[in-house]
Amino acid sequence: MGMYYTRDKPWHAEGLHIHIEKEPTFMSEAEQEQQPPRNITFPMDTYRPPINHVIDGPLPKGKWLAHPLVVQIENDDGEVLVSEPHFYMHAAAHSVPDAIAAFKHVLVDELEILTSDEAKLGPRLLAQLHYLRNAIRAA
Amino acid sequence: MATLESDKVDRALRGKMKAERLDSIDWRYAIYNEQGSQVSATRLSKGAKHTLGSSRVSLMARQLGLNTSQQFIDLVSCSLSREDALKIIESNSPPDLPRQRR
Repeated sequence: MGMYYTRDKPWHAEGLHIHIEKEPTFMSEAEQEQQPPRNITFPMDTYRPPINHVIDGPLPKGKWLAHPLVVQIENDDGEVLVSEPHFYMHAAAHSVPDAIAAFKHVLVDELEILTSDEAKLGPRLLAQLHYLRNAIRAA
Repeated sequence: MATLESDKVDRALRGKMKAERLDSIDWRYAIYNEQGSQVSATRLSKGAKHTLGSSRVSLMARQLGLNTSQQFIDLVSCSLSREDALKIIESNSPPDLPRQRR
């Protein structure tokens, strides 16, 4: 995808992988064999735990978040994954803004689908519906 | 690291779990118990087959109401039956407070 971490930009602003460039050093052949190849890229999830992020404000279809919502953002094999910790609703995309936007679409979509299915929901999904009704309000 | 292929997950949910697949912004899979109650649901991105990373597998497992990623992998690989999966899902319903994902 051509997106790599640099020293100047945080991973969540620029990309999904860390790019390590080692300065040339004098080493014996044995030492060199123990070193990773230069310019190798490592998956970010080797290095970065999920981070908490607060989302707020407008949602798709004229809806709004009724209060700020804490979500987790993490790298997952080259994708950015945004999730909430109560019912594990989540969305993925190739950048943080896109993943947050996709997550907001999922929230509204879940509210609509669960509302239309309300009569046949089990306790788990009924609790999720109540959670979404508390979290989302019409504009 | 636990990963799964999206096409195998789709087959397991629609086949073994008899999930109803709704064409929405994603594919949404609703799982029903024998009494006709919708007991859990999850989503997959539309489009070509893709690999679900370990974090996504863990989130989907939790979203379905399973206890661990391994249970979801067992479900997809056929060693966990629909009946046993439903028992786990319904024993976790409504969900506990948030806990550490495994």
